[in-house]
Formats: sequence, C-alpha cells, structure tokens
Amino acid sequence: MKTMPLDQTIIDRRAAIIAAMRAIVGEERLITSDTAMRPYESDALTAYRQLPLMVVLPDSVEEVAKILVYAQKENVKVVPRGAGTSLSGGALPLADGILMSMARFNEIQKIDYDNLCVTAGPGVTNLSITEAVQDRGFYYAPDPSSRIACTIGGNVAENSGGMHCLKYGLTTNNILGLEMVLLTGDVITLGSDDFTEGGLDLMGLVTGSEGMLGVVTSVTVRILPAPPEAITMLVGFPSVEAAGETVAGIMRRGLIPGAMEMMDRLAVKATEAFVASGYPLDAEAVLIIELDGTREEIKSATALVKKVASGFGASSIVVSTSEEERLAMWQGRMSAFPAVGRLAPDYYCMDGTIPRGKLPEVLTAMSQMSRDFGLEVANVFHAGDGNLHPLILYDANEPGQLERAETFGEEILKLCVRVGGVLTGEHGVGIEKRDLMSEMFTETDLNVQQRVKCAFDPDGLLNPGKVFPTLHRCAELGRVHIHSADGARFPNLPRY
Amino acid sequence: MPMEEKSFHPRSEEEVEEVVKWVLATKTPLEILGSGTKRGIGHQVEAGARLHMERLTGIIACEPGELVLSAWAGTPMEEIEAALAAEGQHLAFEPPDYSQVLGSQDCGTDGGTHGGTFGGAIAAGLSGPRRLIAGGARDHVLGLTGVTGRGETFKIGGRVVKNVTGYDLSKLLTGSFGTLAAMTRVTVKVLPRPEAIRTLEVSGLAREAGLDLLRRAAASPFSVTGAAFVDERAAGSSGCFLRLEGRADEIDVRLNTMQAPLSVEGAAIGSKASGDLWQGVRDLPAWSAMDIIWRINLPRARAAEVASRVDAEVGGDMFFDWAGARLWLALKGEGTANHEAIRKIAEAAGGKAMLFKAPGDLKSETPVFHPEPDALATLTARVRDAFDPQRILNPGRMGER
Repeated sequence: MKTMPLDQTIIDRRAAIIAAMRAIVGEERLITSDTAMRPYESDALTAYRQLPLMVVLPDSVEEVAKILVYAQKENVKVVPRGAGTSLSGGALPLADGILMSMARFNEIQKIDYDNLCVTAGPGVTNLSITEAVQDRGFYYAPDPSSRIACTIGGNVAENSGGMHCLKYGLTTNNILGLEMVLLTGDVITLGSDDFTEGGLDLMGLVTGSEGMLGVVTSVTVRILPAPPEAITMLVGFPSVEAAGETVAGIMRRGLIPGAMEMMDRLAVKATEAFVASGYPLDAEAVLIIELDGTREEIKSATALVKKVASGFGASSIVVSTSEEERLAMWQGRMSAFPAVGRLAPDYYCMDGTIPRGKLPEVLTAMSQMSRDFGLEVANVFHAGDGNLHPLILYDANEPGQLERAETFGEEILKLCVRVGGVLTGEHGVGIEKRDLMSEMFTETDLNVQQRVKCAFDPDGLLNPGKVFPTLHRCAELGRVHIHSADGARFPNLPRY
Repeated sequence: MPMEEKSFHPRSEEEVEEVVKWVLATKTPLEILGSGTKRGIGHQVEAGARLHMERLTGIIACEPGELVLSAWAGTPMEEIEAALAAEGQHLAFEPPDYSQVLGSQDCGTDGGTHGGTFGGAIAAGLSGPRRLIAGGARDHVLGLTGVTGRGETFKIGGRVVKNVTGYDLSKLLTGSFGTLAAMTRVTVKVLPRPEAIRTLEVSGLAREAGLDLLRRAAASPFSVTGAAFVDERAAGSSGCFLRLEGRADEIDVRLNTMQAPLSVEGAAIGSKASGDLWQGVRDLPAWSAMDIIWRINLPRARAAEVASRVDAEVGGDMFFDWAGARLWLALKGEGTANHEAIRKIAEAAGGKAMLFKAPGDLKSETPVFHPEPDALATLTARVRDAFDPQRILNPGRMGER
C-alpha cells in the first residue's frame, strides 16, 4: 500500500496545534501521549496501524466547527472516527492529522413516533436506536454485524448494510436527515424528518462518502414497525449451484425474504463445532432464510420456499417452531466469523458483490485460488443481494502469509469485478481497496468523483488518502479542457 | 443575434459526448430531452441547441434473477414496464406519468412516447405512493453512465443491488434534471410485482381523523404500501385509502385483521380497481384542469396543521399522499400572489414547497424549487461546478446559480 506523503511542517508545529485544540476542547478531551492514543491507532482492519498527531473529542457542534475552521486555516488534516469498527481502514489515523472522535455525541436527541423517526448523535450505537424504540414495537432496520459497537455516524460514513438489507435497504435507504459541519465551519441540514424531494440529493451523496466531505453531527433515521412474527428456515443443499438457483427462484416467484444467507461447507463445519446450531454437516451449502410479517404472510411464504427448495433438490429443510429455535438458528450464522476464526490464528474478511448467477463460477475459481495460494477460504454470503464474504485463513506469524492472504484477497475482488460485480458491498473502500479502484473505474470516472470531494474540501484535508488511488490537486482537476471549436468537427451528428 | 436552434439526435454515447463538446466549444446552452413529458416541471430552459435522447434506446440487460435492469436513457417507459411485467416484475418506486396533469406536448420526433423515457424518469427523480415503504427513485438507481458538462463520458455505481464502491453519485444525479450530466445508460433495481392488491377505503372521515388514520396505518405492522387521503372539497366526498400488496392466499386475511387494531371499518377494493385507483393517486389526472399545483413535502404529523393554515391563508384543493408527508395543493385561476405564504407555511412545519405546475409568469416570479439557505446553496453551486462549471446543460432548469 502506498502511504500518504508525510507533511513534516505539521509534525514540527505539533505543539502549536495542541495548544489550539486545547483552547477549543480543553485539556480533558484532548489526547496527546502515545500510550493514551494507542487504542486509536487502527480500526477493525488491524493489519494497518498508525498513531495520529493527536486525538480530540469535541462534544458540541460549535466545537466541531471551530476545529474544522482551524484545520482549514492552518492546513491540518482531520480524520473523523466513530467506534472504529471499519473493516476497510476507513478510520485509519494519519501521523500528521488530527483524529476527531465523535464518541461524545452519544445521545439520542429525539424519538418521534408521530413521524416515525429518531434523531441521534453520530456517536450513538446502531443497536441502541432499536433498543430505544422496541418497547413500542419499532426498530431501525440496517443491522451490520458490529451493531452492538458501531455508531450511526460510522454507518452513515460507510453506508453500512447487514443481513436484512435485501428487503429493508442499506443505511442510505433508511436515513431521512443529516446535520453536517463543513470545513468552512458552516452547519448545514440535509433532508428532514420525513421523505424529502427537490434540490440536489446531497444527503444521498454524503451517505457512504467515508468521512471525506464533512463531519456529520446529527442523524435522523426512519424507524419501522417490527414485523408481528418471524420464522427461520435452515435449508441444506448437495451443491452450491442448487442453493444459488433456489435463491434466485424464490425471488423470481415474487418473494423477498427478510434475510437470505448462505454458508459453504467449511463455514458450516467451523460454526457447528463452535455453537452447534443444528446446521446440516453433510450439505455443500446451507441457506438460512428469514420470513417475516403476519402469520398468513409467513405461512404463504414458507410454502413457497419449501416448494422452490425441494424443486432444486434440497437435502434438508428445517423450519423454526419457536422464537428460541429461530434465535438458535441465527446464532450459527452470527457466530460464523469467530467460528471460522478458530480454524486459524488469523483471518481476512473480504466483501465483494457479484451477480448472484455467477456464484458457482466464482466459488470454483476461489477454490482453485485457495489451492494456488495454499490458504483455506470459508464463505459466508448475503445470498439475496450477492454480497460475498470470503474469509481467508492465515497465520500472521508465518513469514509471507499475510502478504499471501492480501494478494489472495485482491485476486478475489478483481474476480468479482470481472464477472460484473463490485469491490465492496458494505465495508467501504477505505485504505484497503483504494489501490484496486482502477479495476472498476477509469481515470475519468475517478476524476468525476474527486471533483465532488473538491467541492466540499478544496485542500484535501478531510480523511485524505482513502478511497482514491491517486490524489490530484483540486485546481488541476477543475480545469475545463475544450478542444478545437467548430461545428465542422461533428459531421456525423444527425441534425434537424 | 438570435442563436440558430440546433437539434441533435445522437445514436451512441460517443455522439452524446461530441454534442456536449460542441456546445462547450461554441458556448451554446443545451437542453436535454427524452420525450418532453416532464418539460413542464422546473423552469423553462433558454437553450440554443437541443439534445434528443430518443435514438439512444433499448434495454441492455433485463436480468430477473438478479433483480436488475439496464437500459439506454431514451428507452420509452412503456417498453421498460412491459419487459418487466413479462417477468412478473416492476419498478417499485412507481415512476409517475404526469403528462396528463401537466398537459405535456410530446416533442419526440419518433412518435408518441406518452409515459416519457427511462432517462427522463431518473433525471426527474419522481416517485409514486409506494415510496412510503419501498423508497423513491433515488433508492432504486444502482449505477449509470453519462456525459458531464465538461464533455467527459463517465460511469458511476455498478450493476448489483449492493455496492458501496466510491461515492454514491447515482443519488446525486437522480433528480438533478439533467443539470449535471446527460445520462446515457442507467441500471436500476427491480422487484417482484405483487400478485394481489387490496385497498381499504374509509369514507366520510374529517381531515384530521383521516390524516391520523394514515399515520397509524403506516406505523402498523401490516405493510401498508400506500396511504392517501383526499379532501371533501377536492373530490366531493372525503376518502382515506390504504393499500396492501402481497400474495393472493394471504392478502384478504391481512386486510380484515388490520381493521380492528386501527379501529376502522372500510370497504375492500380488489386488485384491478386498486390498480386504477393508485394510478390516479400517482399521476393526478383529476387535476388536469388546475392552473397551479404545489407539492409540499413535510413531516407527516404536521400535515393537518399545515392544511388548516393553507385553508385560512390560501385556499385551494388538497390531497395527501405518503401518510401525509406529501401534500398536493391545487389552485384555479390567477391566484399568483400567495407563493410567499405557501412557502412560509411549509417552512414553519419543517417542510418544503415546490411549484409543480404553473404558468410561466408565476415561475419567473418565484423559484420552482424551495429556496435553500445560503450555506447549502453555496455548497450546491460548488457541486454543480464539479460537473458543469459553464452551466451549459439544461441551464436554469432548477433555478440554480
């Protein structure tokens, strides 16, 4: 990985920058010693570590604005951070940049059952939004696996997904409004407390922009009525193809289940050894399907799933008969990562999306790669939306294995793009996939995106070094290139 | 000297890029058109040249098992909808056909494309009643290619339903009315078309009670996919309409069981009649004769309060969609003096008012889109600079600076 060029003048001015930050947030919310900054040196992509210049923890919109105005004036980089659960290095600090933790923005500001929305500080955890409204029968739909710890601000930055996003959407589909501080210190409100139309959709742009456009200080999310009932089905298949055909077949027959997950043989084996959820060990692939709604809706949907799965040769079908059974079935899927983690000292979690129909082809190619690289790979798959999570097993203490695992991972992502998919379905580009962006986008495509970054951040100060493989100066990108200018150059255009 | 008006009818993406390069070189403002059915929305574009997209047509990939469809921007909506219907699928955001209410003149040269084009639907970013539960146009666009106002052909997004690779510029382009780029190809998420539709009609409710019912229904766990209320004055008698969609073997049970917890008794409307009814909610054909129509987006719980103020200060007929979060207001006659009052009423409730249909002189008096606060307007202008620094594409359509 190429690292950002270090700005030594910033390091030299560290004492002055510390003094300026102290004047804004005070001594207690400023961290400057190496020991105390250690917890911030990486996010959940722990292969990359870097101590920041300092850590500040603002606790008001005014403080965030002052910090950003200072940063802009003094040309100091800022990396915003939520809980640090990013799997793509999105919150990796910079040695010459301030790390701005949003942890103090941890209050739910408003629960509005009349308009079905909740307004929360960016430091509020994903799960605590649901916890705040579940007594009244509501919930917040996106459920990334880190939902106990990850923050709603981080979810907005990464446009996080989860197991239920096939039916209920990603973060971006469940956000109604954002308050954001710009580098100018201006505070803007995007969206509202309900559906918004008109004007450019900057809220859609900001969601998933990986903390590079502004600092979100408040998030309004849509809450949904919880389905009255839910059941889970465990379906075993003698082949991955049959499981894949079943997934497509269910949707072709008009049913979008609440969740539809797939695990391959190795992932099932590891999980059963860990939590014993009753997954069939003789199957090549297992589907975990959740059906939710009224009793009649579920009854109708269950019959349909059984019919489709049997038609494609399912070797076993088990339907949960109680809430305990349903949760036990999910326990397996939710323990898949740690369970696979027990098979080897380390594992590397990938996140490509492919057209579902390419699944057998991709899995076959991955088995071959597994043999070539000499590293095992287990597959957990959000089957409904084609989002693949291969887990590459390695041992970082064995010389060369980390590099081999990373190269293997890169090859998997390139394969995803080759078959018509994308580099990342829900984890973000961050630092991890930055240098692979040209597999998917041309230089022009990336320039178009970088110009948007320039519109918000002309000096490249907010979380720079993420997402874009090449950093261009905004002035250079801003020029308009007009070539020779006469109508005669366009002889082929039909005109009337 | 008046500019000679030119019309371009490109047959390929390369030709679209050539056209944009030509207008940049000659500093000719360019109007981009599908079939022109939505031309009445937004401000009139003063252009020296027109880019007609109707020859950039055809479905590129319809992949029912993947729930995606890609098509050229100029493809008629009828063709898209027919192809999806043949697979038992549809565009869940219910793109409206406003040609009747707007009295649109088809300005395509290849014959009538009444429902507009695919590119036009996405560029206008319009959504129907199902946004309540399934999201709007913005939520269904997965990726696209186009030519920026700098004359560069680019692509964003992808062709899979779950993707966070790079900035989500698809949302920015959706609803930008062709002011950032000329879209050439678009990929959208498609969903299964429901097997059965039922509507619960509850008549005779006063406005406040009707709006309350809409909100309670949308907050209930019965998956209500449409919640609309029509005022007595607008329709002769008031009506509250709640839509359920699903499978034939469960939908009637759901329709019956939802009434007790909502404390209502209504009449059930079957699939066919429901289809027509919700198409009316979506397209507003009943208001074709209205001169001025406002679209007010607001937090749904404020709808009754806003409506009362509108009654007192403005008058007009009202119609509520999205459980009250979208209020349509129709005025007949000259009444042009009330735009400031309408905007103030919307703003006081945390909403926004858009002048959806109006004669040209009113549009020159007040912006069509709700004005943005300064800091946001400045930022928006900078985002526009990123795509179209010369403001050469559909200049002024959104009243932009």
